[in-house]
Amino acid sequence: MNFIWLIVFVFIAIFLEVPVVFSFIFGTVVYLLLGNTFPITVVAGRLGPGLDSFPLLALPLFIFAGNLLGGSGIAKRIFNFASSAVGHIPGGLGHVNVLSSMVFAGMSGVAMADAAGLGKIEMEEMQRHGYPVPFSAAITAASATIGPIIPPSGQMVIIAVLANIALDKLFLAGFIPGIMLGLFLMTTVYIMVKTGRVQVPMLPKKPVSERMKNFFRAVPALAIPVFLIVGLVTGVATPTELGALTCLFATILGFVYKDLTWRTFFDCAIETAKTTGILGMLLLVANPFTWLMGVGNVGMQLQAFMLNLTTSPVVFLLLTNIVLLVAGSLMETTVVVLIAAPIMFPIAASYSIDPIHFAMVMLINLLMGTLTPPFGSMLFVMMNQTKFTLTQMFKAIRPFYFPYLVFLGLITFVPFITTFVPRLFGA
Amino acid sequence: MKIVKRMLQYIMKMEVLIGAALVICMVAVMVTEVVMRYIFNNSIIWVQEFVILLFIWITMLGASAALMTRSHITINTFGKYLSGPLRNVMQLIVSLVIIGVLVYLLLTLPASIFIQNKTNTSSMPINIGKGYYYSFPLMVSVVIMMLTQLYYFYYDVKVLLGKPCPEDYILEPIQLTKKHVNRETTV
Repeated sequence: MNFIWLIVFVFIAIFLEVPVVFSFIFGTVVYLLLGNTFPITVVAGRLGPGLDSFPLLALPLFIFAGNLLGGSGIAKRIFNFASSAVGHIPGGLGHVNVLSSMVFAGMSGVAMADAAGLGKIEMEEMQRHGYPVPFSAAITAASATIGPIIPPSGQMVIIAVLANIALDKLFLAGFIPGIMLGLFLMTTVYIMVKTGRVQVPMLPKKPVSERMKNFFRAVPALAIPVFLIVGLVTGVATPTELGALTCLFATILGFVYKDLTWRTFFDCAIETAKTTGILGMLLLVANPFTWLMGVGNVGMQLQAFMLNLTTSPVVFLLLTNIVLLVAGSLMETTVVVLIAAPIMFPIAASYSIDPIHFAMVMLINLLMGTLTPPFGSMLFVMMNQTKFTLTQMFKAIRPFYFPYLVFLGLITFVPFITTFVPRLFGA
Repeated sequence: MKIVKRMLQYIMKMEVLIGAALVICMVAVMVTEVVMRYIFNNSIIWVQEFVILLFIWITMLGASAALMTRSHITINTFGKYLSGPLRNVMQLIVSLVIIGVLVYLLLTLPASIFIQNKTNTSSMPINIGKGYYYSFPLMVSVVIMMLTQLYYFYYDVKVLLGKPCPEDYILEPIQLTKKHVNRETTV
């Protein structure tokens, strides 16, 4: 039986709305039962070792750090700091929104914590200052996608483990694209305000004393991304150990700021255990699936198929963009990564595409997918907050597609942007 | 069924509390390792195997707790466009698939534990069989998931037959404070 059937069986279960973890086991067991290639006990045997990976430990640690930072009042301090730094530029709180997300992204490994936690503060402040709700919702959703690009990032941990890439290299690759996306979004806000496409109130430039006060209040929080960058660049600790140190730092910060109580601290740990259960289980069940794809030489078959279709890496990357964008708009990002990574990375290797570069292309495509109808998850987070319909949300976010597409094009066809920093520091 | 619900709720509370304690323990052990390495110039050799074991247990406890609150990732396809009775049939099929997968795991995991136990962990102070290290936590999780799914299956059948069901039959997530932490499950 052709190994493509393995994917088909998994998709049949997913399509029937069976939870994805059970769909994977169901698909692999049915495939083995019908295909008679290996004994079905092989699936159970392959499940357990699926989590035996030291880099994977960064996942619960950065989730915990993200929860601790979200549970404390750090987000508000970052917002105030960003407000005094860029609030006076035309577009005001639009820029503040983007800068806050960029700083928060450098601390938290949880993307949705941005949209649902910091995003809530951003939305409230923008509405309090009379900013149009569609504009506020759109920029909050778009800026939240910076979260998984700037390290630490849970998505990067998953991609690195599945594609067998050094996590520190992938983390280092995310800094420049993350900052670039932030600047692209800020430029779009500026142009929208200057051309009168959106009417927003100007914020007065704050006095130097207040700006300094907000800066010093945010310094301990701002130290986290700096500490991570230094840690990654110098290699004094592995990304996993940096995750543990970030948790410790976030806890101390929360208690010093008096925003964290023992109960909220333990609640953050409970939430981490639950999220780790959901994501860890996905990685666990993907293990027999990936193994079967490997022994079935599915990668080789698809490589041959793709090379017959085109020998041009440019065409391959274009096709990749289309497939991943569509997949990201239909399915949860992690699920797409679980299915696509074992299939696409070997093909990308046959086109001599750097795996770090390809990982970033995959990540950014999927993130743009979360902003795209019909099922883009970020759209639904904002629809929940604003009670907008999908059409209203789509109309609001439309101006941000163009800069996002330009950004995606640059990341896809200029590998230097993503590979420069990891090569520079020889991680 | 109220007793079953209370029992499952209690199990879930234990699971998430133990899971949370293990998360904190994991951070403490890893921070200690970094401190030992840089300040005392003396690495703890068993840290890696030990924290992976903690991670496996956290995942297994969290996964069965997630099934109790029905929060595992599901892709919504055509379910919402179906009429009530058809949607109930679909829900029952989903329940049966989950039970089928769990039965499969219950039947095959003991053999995997037995085979994996032929090798041991190598660096921990007390070395344990790889079966107990890798697959035993999964077995515990699968047993709890089976209990949970049978509970939900009972209600899925009742709903399909049009019999009345209590509105609060889906188990409530455990949270110590009322303050919102982060209820999103994606990264």
